[in-house]
Amino acid sequence: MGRLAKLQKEYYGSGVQFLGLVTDVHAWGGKTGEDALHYMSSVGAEYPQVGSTSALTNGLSYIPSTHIYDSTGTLVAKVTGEHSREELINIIETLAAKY
Amino acid sequence: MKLISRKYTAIFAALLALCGQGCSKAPAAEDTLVQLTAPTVAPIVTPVPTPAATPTPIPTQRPAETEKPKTTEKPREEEKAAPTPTEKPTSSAKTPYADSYTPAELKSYNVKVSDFSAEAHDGSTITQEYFANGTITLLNIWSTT
Repeated sequence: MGRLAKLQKEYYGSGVQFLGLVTDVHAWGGKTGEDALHYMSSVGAEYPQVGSTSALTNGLSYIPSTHIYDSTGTLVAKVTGEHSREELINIIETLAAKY
Repeated sequence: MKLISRKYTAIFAALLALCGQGCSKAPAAEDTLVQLTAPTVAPIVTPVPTPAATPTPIPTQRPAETEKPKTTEKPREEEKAAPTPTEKPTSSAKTPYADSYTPAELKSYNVKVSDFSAEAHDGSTITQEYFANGTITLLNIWSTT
């Protein structure tokens, strides 16, 4: 998540945007929500985070994962597990050039 | 004497002229008259101006009516009824590594997200409209455990 947090700052304003989803957060006021906020702060994640939402977790097989959507809200790619910065850049650039 | 003889000659010529109107020998009398009176007065010939040839009026023709394009108000109504297309976000902004990356081989998906509404950590509401704000959106799915 720290890599994504850094890339989010680098890609800011380029049309590539980020969104987080914390699967075990159902309400931001609870303890889990507090833990999530604390972790986000520690890694410098500044993009919005939402709690568990079935519309976005359908077909989820692995945590962590990164799902990539186009501007119409269509899922166009899935990346599971942790990835290096270079791999993430290759994925982002490939999809940004395509869409 | 000359005046008298001229007078009589003129009278005689006038009588002959009057007689000549109904007489077949009139031309001869006229010839005589011309011969007698010619030295006195030259005939004044007033040229009669020939009227300028008036141009034949050309019947005015009504210009052929040009067919007006059959435009009705319907297209305008259709334009009004047409939905405003949603502006697709432009990818004019260059991504930072567009010139130096290795294209990734990614499995193709084509699943559109269903409508949703979720509360974000900052109290804002995120819906499916959020995706329209960017060319692509990376959804980072994680957990605290």
